[in-house]
Amino acid sequence: MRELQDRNFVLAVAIDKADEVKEVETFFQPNGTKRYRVSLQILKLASGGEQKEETKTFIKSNTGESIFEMVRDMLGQNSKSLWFEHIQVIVISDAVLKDVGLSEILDFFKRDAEMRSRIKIYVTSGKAQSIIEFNPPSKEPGGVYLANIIRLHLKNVHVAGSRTDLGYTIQYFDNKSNILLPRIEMADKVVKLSGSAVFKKDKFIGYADEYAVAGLKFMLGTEKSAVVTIDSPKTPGYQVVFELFRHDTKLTPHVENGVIYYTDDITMYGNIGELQGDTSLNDTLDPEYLRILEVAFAEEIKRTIYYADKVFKKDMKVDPVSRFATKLKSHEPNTWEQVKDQWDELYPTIPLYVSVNVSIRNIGNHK
Amino acid sequence: MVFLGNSAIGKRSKVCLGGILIITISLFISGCWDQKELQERLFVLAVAIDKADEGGDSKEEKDKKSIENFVQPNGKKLYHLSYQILQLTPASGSGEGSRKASISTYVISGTGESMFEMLRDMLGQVSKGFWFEHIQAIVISEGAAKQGGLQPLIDLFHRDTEMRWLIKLLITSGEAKKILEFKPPSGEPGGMFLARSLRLYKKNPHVPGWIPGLEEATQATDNKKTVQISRVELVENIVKIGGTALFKEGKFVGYIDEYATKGTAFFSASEKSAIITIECPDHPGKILAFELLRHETKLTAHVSGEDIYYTLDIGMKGNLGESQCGIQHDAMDDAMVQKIELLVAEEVKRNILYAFHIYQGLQVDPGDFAAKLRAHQPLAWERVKEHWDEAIFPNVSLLPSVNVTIENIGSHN
Repeated sequence: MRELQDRNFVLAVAIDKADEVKEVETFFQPNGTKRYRVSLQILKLASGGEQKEETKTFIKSNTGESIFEMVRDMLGQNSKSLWFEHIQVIVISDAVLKDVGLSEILDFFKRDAEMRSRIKIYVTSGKAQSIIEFNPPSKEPGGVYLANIIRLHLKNVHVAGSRTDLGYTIQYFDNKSNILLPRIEMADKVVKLSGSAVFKKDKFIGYADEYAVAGLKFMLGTEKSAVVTIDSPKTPGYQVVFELFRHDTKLTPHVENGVIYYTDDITMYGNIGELQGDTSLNDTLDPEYLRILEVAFAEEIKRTIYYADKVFKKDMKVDPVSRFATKLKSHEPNTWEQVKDQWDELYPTIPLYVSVNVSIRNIGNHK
Repeated sequence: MVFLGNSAIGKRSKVCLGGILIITISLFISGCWDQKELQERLFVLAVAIDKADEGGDSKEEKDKKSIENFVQPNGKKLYHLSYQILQLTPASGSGEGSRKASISTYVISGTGESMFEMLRDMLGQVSKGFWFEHIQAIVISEGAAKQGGLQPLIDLFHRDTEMRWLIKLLITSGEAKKILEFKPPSGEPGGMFLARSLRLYKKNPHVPGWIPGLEEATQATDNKKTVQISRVELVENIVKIGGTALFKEGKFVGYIDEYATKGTAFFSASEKSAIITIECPDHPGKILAFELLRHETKLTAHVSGEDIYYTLDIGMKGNLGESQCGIQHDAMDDAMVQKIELLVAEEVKRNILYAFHIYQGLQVDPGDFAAKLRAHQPLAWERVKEHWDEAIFPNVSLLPSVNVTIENIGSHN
């Protein structure tokens, strides 16, 4: 039996490039180089501690190449054994991912029996260690805070959060699929999750911004709710906002005379969520004006989807999470067999036709 | 009594006698005659021994040292002794001015030669008596160890009845007092942190776990064996335990690094688990890690004519713990697994010989080799025991044979 306070629960892991090797924290390595810095955020459970500052966690770090070897050597800096069952999040710096594949970094977490599939994985352009050193103002332990941010992806269209944890990432590796992971950034004392890191198989390609992520979620129908803004048609310079509640989205591959193209048919239902212009001019009780707004919202959603399509097709040349390939494989298996070997080259040339229909249900207004 | 028992006076006397008896007994059985509350005791949690001239040169430090000092009739000012003392503050007050119960530590020091004399003089700096039953660790600075050897530093601790055998020993190349002043981020008292860290040697063979305490050091000294003490280092706010300091006949010989410490664990069979890394045979520059879970190790002494040599037979079982070649690898392939097993075995051999040659270079037998020869080849031992460390041990051969079995690979197709 071991009491809770006798265990060092690791809540978060940060993986950086080892730009600075501190001799005291590291060890003599028979194989490999000092390539990575691994930092662990550990939950502090002892009461009546010596430190005045009320922090819930502390950080230990080490440099080396094998993550397993580093973790075991880190026991030399700890008085209690490390427990990995409650890791909430792994933050990886993109400097590491520019050199090696994601699967190499995650191998230890994938193979070890202590790890859980629901560990969240984030990518940052800065220093991953700083992110796990961040003490949230809400006083939650940092790792728990970081993992909970992504649970809000259902309402935040700027975060592509579904199926991005360790378990799903391993499935993507096995299926040789492309991967999207959420991007996290920190400046001063602000931590924010938005946008996505884009991977071709397990190789890091770059980042897609929030607008492209929103477009991708509309395109694939993975959003639950969203807020769409347009310039008011009657009072330019003021915004009207559509709050999406429900949608039917259908992405379909078509093959005609050997030509492949996709159609995306979307119907969206929702409310007017905000109207910043003069309400007497923007008369939402007028059915005709509502039709004008519905068309304008549909146009904006189309524009968002085409923007995402451009980012993934033209700029990155990556089929996001291999969704287009999967659709073709299931709906047009014969065509897939013919093109699967050249899919990566073919995908950027395949057109997408989007049709959006918006229906405004409630206006939240009266006369 | 029979007569008294029958009279009225007799009954009264019995009652009186009984009453006196009860009062007398209760005086002796109360158990409160030496009661002292916990917060009225100064528990020493850790001890640091430095050279007297080690530490800060600032005016403030010098003033501090001059106050800590005392006039010594005999001996010199050789050592700077520091105690880490546990401070127990009970909860007090209520409402806004209330204070929670807390545990913290502080460090006091003295300078002199006799540890006992310094200890008693340090009572001039405190208001309560010292209690030594709970010392967790003694940290010795390399400077102090080099100055007069290990014996004068630990004599008091194995002679005094208050001390416990399980006190852990540590050595540092810097100032030992600084390690006592380190406040662990986990909030534990520093002495507890150090002692508990050493207990993790089972999973971390970079720490020499098998000779961790005062008892083992005393036994090894009595048996004229090499004493091995864990090394601890402090830089900024990082404290790390790893590597070993070697003492031969009480004299400091040198340090061996983590890799040699791990090698020592392999030939002493003192490891419980270990991570052994190799470079992937198919993807140069990529690392594979084997996680050792079980092993059988047998070190045998052989004598052939005048020659003495050792064989070390090791069978290791474990898992493939990490493969940074990632998805490029098919770990289900039996041929691949066998190739990895052979490479891990080679790496273990390399590690063992690395450590063994370091010991030979330092002319220090870690203890296992002389003991095996004495037990299994007593006649040969009698012949060589006089000049074992200097002439025989540095020239004996060690022939390791390692067999590795990977049981689980932790991946699927």
